[in-house]
Amino acid sequence: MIWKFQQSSPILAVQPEKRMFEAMGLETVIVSTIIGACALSFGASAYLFMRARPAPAAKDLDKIVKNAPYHRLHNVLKVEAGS
Amino acid sequence: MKTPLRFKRRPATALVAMANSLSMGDAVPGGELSQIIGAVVLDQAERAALLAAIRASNDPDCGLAVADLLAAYATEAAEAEAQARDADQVIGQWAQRLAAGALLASFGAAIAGTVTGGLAFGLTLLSFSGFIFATASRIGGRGKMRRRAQARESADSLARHVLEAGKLRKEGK
Repeated sequence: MIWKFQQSSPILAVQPEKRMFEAMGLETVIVSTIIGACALSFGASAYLFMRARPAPAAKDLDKIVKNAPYHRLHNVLKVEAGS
Repeated sequence: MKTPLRFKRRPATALVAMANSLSMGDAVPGGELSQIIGAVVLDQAERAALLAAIRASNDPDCGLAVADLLAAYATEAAEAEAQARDADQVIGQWAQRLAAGALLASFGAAIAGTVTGGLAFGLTLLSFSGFIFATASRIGGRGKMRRRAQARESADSLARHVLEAGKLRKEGK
């Protein structure tokens, strides 16, 4: 009886002479699938988080404003010398 | 519109200076230029100061150069927005669906009794936290997308207004 049951459902039958995938239990298959799906989802989310991080500013804004090429404006626009 | 005789050193005047410098053949670091434009387009006071500076300038091409820089910034922002939308729809949505599927699968396996005890609990917890993580990352990505869209629209409208200010200056109104 037991032998017949194992014959009809190869997934449940863990026999050393069976091939690797057939010897895998249902629990192993389901657990590894769920863990794999979660790992993929975590990886994709981490990538999205990395993308959404604002790019670091190249320089301080005040410094850029102070060092802008105002000398090019001498005939175009009057700009105060100091800040 | 009255304009002041002397302008302060502020992002708006720095942008006009950079545009002038560029049209005269001098190089301006690209990162600094986009940072200045980003500071100008999202600030009401800087926008007003930029329009006043364009009206007060003696160079008729000054407004055109600034408007072109603003339009280029808007194009760049639109590109970044499209990339963020693609990432959200292609990756974010599927990360969420995958985590939701894993959650349902772990529920199903636990109910059917295939996976029991601590393992079932751990799987459910893992997929649930994955779903929350995916949702949070999507919200963050969409926030960036919105900021980009706002920058694009502001830069577009400011470019139009700068051109108008240049025309007004030419007509001497």
